[in-house]
Amino acid sequence: MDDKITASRRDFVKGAATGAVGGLLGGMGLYSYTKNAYDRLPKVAREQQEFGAVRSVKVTAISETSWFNNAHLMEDIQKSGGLLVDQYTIGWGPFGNGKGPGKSSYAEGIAPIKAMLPNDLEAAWEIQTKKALHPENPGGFSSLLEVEDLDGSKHKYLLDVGWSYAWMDQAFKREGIDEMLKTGEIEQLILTHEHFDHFFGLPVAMKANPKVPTIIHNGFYKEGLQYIKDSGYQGELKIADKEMTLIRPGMMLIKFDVPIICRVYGETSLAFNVKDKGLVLISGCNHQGILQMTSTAYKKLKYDNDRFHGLYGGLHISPFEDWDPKYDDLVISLGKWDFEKVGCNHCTGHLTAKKFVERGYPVVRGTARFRSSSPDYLGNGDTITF
Amino acid sequence: MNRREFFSRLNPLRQETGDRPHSEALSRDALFRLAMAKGIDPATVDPERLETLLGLKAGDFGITGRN
Repeated sequence: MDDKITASRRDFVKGAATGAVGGLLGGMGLYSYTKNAYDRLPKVAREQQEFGAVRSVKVTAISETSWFNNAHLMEDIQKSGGLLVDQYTIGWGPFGNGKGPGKSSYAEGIAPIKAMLPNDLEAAWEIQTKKALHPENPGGFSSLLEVEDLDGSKHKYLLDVGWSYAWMDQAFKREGIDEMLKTGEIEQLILTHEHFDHFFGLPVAMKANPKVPTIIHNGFYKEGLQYIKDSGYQGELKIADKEMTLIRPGMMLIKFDVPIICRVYGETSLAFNVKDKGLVLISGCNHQGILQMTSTAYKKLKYDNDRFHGLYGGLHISPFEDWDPKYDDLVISLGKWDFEKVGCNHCTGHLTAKKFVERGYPVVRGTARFRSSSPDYLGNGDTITF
Repeated sequence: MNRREFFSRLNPLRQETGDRPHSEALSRDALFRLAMAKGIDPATVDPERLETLLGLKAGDFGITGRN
């Protein structure tokens, strides 16, 4: 019997076509993961505004633990009406009124504590532990920025003020922030956005220095502006109303106008041109989207080596520690910018930090102290220098 | 000018390379709010994919390319 296998011309053509299509699809898939894939994206017009340079930027994560239980936070938001709900109505401290989720208001929340701000914060927060939803959940986000000019002089800025009065008071004392505010060493308070975990702790900073120059996004709602007054602020409030505001040579505030969850509008982030290294981007929460921040900086600013050097802050990819395939798009796309040093934390999410490491991004690990839950990223009390 | 460029000029939702016109910024606000109403935090989504994720046709809200 003849075992010789013969193929008809039809079989040959079918096989060749299947192989070609399979190879093409596989090749396209592999190509999409290469840097060359991005070269075909439309070239953008770059304005590249000069804004000077600094020698270095050191960041201390005073507190990156904005809340301690994701489930409790999401439960409060969902029971109050979902992502569009007004943060002042949810019933979180310091604006809880004891009526349950979604039934609070700024006026009702502030009434019993207004006279105590900013000097009797212990009593004010004690009242809130009886009225607010999940009163043990709040922590806060706040960072100290130490900027070294080219002439060697150093300048300190406070980025956000956290949430819980009790937690932030402790965190400020641990890092000496209260003393830096009292002595005027901290030159400016930059409130990135109006969110509870970055802003509600304001009286803690006001207790130390109610006149510290402060800058906010022009999208703050009337309740937020009133809270600044009710917190005891007596200084010069600057409203960022342009896309770019130069804080000092080499340090630019970038304003993003976007609606944010829990009825907040707009966020500001910072860009630094570090001499001979390149661009460093620092954010509170990045609600504008990490890709929006990188592409805006790329288009609008001129920086050394035309290189993205560093990144710090909440990058808002998996803030609630769930994972969805759409987050992978952000993780992969961020690789295009090829940062040399990534100091993420807070709403970046631990899962995202692990994904960054898997993809070879240079994530700086933390020490997991002061209730930061893992060393995946920079935690409370950790520092990074660019 | 090639054919693609010619037809691109006829499309009112074509990709902008400079500052967004005011109306387009408003569209982005509407898109972000729509996402939040559907339980999606828009900051966690690649802007290029947000419209698709919401079941809209690309360009419905004027977000046709990377910002």
